[in-house]
Amino acid sequence: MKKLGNISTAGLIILLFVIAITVMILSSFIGVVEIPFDSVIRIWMNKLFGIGDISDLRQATIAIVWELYAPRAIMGLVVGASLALVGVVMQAMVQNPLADPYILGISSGASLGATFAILIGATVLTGTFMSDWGVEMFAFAGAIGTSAFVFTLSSFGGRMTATKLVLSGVIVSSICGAFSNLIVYLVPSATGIRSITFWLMGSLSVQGFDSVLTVIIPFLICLVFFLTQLRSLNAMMLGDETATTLGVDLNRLRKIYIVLTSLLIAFVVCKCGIIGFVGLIIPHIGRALVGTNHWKLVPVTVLVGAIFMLIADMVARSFTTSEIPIGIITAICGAPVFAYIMIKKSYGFGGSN
Amino acid sequence: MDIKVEDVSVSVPHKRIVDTASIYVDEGEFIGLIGPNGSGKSTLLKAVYRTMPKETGAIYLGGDSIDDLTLKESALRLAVVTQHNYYNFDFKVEEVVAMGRTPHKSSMEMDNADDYKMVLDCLNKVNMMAFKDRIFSSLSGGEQQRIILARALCQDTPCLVLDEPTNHLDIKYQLEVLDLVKSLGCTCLCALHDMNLAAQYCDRIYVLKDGKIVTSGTPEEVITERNIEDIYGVKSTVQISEETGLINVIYHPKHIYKNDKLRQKDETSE
Repeated sequence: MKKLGNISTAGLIILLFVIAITVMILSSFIGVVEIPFDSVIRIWMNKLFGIGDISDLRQATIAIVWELYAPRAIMGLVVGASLALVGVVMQAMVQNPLADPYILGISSGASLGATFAILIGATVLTGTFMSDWGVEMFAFAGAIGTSAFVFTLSSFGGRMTATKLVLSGVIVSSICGAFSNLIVYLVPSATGIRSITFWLMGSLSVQGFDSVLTVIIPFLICLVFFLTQLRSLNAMMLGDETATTLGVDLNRLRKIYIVLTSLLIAFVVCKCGIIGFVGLIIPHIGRALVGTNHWKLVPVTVLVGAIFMLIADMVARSFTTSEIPIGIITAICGAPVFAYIMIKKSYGFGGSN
Repeated sequence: MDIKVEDVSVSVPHKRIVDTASIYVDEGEFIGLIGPNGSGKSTLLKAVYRTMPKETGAIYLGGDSIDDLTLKESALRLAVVTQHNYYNFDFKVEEVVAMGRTPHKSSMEMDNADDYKMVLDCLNKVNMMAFKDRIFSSLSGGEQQRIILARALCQDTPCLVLDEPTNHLDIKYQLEVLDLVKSLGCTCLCALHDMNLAAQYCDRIYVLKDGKIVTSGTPEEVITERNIEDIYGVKSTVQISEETGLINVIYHPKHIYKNDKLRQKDETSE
């Protein structure tokens, strides 16, 4: 808190919330079609709160802002918040500052499922109800399957420890990565590979309100649940043994956490592909701001994640006429920031002094 | 609240670490557990504080088997001070101590002013008030050990298990920590290395060797020249200090055998 002077944590959370909303509205202002800023604000106000009258605006303008840009902005907010939330939970769960959905293999499991569905499944499943939801279902199965596998592997032959969990995650994600690449390599479909490349690098593009909802709902479920778990998350960070002696049932909680986080990750990966670095880096920024205590850390991390993702998406859209995959932007922005906070001497993966 | 350990065995694959050990700690007693390295002291304590599953036997806290208690319920009865405390993340000292309140709270409940007062109180008891805003991992081993004790005090339990709590401490704090624990009057089960400390603080002592309880009793009964040699293979002189009335163990290192009388004594005793 030193750098922020005397702003209290509650003040910081409110400030971040206001910034997140502002950036979300701003992000729907930047796009291919230029729309006056005041119109954008009026449309948001009208649609969200029913304030003001927008009947004087052209239908096309309203449609572009509300049906094209707004869902994307909300998606950015929710996906950023989701990735950051999953990151902070996983880092506590395995007591490892380097954990994130990717290291534990959940994303690669989801990605293998989706790759399979796109390149192989699509031909097999055409005509069935699976052709609409195949990718989502396979990604979900992949995420749940890999997390179950990681979980079993890490508790094999005794109690599950943080080290075994991380190692199992590495094992599983390299297997899944290899199979994804194998599928891409074996299937000679240029368009399929292009769409997969785009999808593997992450994107917030072409999102209607329907797909936004499919991410918002699991996000809200996870957010509400994990906001009731802040005390356990804190205790988990002290290690398996200490947490147990403090009465936290680690083995049971880890199972619940793994199922919920992989659920959320599956939906995020389905809708937006793999967007790396957010789950890893945002919790560290959060800790640099407010320390390791989850009562402060979780809300701050979720909001910072949302803001980061919205800004990254704006950058992705404004550099060139055709947008850059957002995973590239998050990696380009994220890596130097991560390097900076790691090099900074005062930063020891957590506190402020 | 008493602690009762009945015929408890603990195994890891291919090895039985604790073999049908039985211990009882009556309400308010300070019980020591001594034994060589690798004799199973920590493992037995882990079975008591439930981080290692026991293979056979039963453990009772205040008459209830720990198998029937949730982790939260046993955390309200038993607090633990362990030897190794290394955290990957930076917590402030006061945050670490405040975690002791965890079992007293429902998951949604934040710490209130009373909890905070208790945290400060416990920091005061271990003389670490000045460190409350420091980062835990930046403290020395001895300072960390006292913070962990403060956390256990903050847990406010009738029973306390300590696994070599004096390990990183200089002699002043060894005495201070054990005096403090003894003054709490709670039921204590404590693994100790130092024979003198064990003799001076414990009401009774259990000796663990190769996973088995080999002897037990009052310090006078257990800390004898014979037992020390049997257990550790070390010659010693055990005296009762005239000034303090306390048992005093003096070990015999090899170089003192320049003293012929002592060498003869140790050799004939074999």
